[in-house]
Amino acid sequence: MGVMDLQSEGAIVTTKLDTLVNAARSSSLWYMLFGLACCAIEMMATGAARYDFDRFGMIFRASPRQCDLMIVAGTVTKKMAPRVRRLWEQMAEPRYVLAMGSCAVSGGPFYDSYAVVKGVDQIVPVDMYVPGCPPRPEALLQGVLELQRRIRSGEIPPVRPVEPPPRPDLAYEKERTS
Amino acid sequence: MTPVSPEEISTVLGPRAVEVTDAHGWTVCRVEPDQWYGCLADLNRSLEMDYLACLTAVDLLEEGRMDLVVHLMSLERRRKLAVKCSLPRDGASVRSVRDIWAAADWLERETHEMFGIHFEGHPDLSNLLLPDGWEGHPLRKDYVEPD
Repeated sequence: MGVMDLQSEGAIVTTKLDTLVNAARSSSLWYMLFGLACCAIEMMATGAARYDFDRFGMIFRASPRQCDLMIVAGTVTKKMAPRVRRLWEQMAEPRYVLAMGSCAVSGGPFYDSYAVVKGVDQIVPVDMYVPGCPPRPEALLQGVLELQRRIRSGEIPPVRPVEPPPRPDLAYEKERTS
Repeated sequence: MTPVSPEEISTVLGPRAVEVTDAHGWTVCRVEPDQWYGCLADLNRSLEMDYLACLTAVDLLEEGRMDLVVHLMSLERRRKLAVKCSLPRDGASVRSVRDIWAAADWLERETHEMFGIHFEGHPDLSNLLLPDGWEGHPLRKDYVEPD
């Protein structure tokens, strides 16, 4: 469902401004050109011709300042975590985060590793979780479509307070000691 | 690559080779920590061990010690050799071999952060793989993951 579905039988459309803006937002979710591990390969496949993100208004952007959606595709290591948080902070609101794959959801196969963050929701708020190792493009597409539906319906409000991360010790860089 | 024979080692190192064994197709030579640098320099010079393939450590918690290991190869003579030395688990320190093989630079930094072994004479032992400010040495057997 897109903006066109708002059209009634007549030529005149009456709607709330919020509904219209939400429909526009959900139909142009630009996502960040940002991959951390093998999940990024599936994300690239989803973006390429066969699955074609473009038809849902999804285009990747190489700068966080032009992005609406961060797809965390892969393992977030503790060394990478402050950079992920910084990229998220650089995105303009409204911004959304999709955790793609077991690693970004919970740490996945690295659940007992000393070097891996056990879920990207420890450092940034996550709107949608797509499990799988890695998820197939169909799964990622379903996650994105569900995210679009929630944006359109207003379940995810466009303006949200910025909560401190659950793990500030992982989200921000430490002083260099050695 | 064929392993270096025990005779060749004894010619070069003499009594400094404390123990020479054979393991998995490699000749393994054990030396004392204070002769680590001297032995490796002699092997580099006399046996043309021009390629340092690996430098790491093994934490032998039950035996209360750590083994420092290097895998050396001679591309010229097509030979390979492993050299080990035993170190205490606390306050371990050996002389850096970075000036013999530049490849040892990052490997010694990694061994330093992962096992807590100090390399004397190394120009910069700051963390290589771990984030700055990391506490503990993750590849030690008694390391407890804080999360």
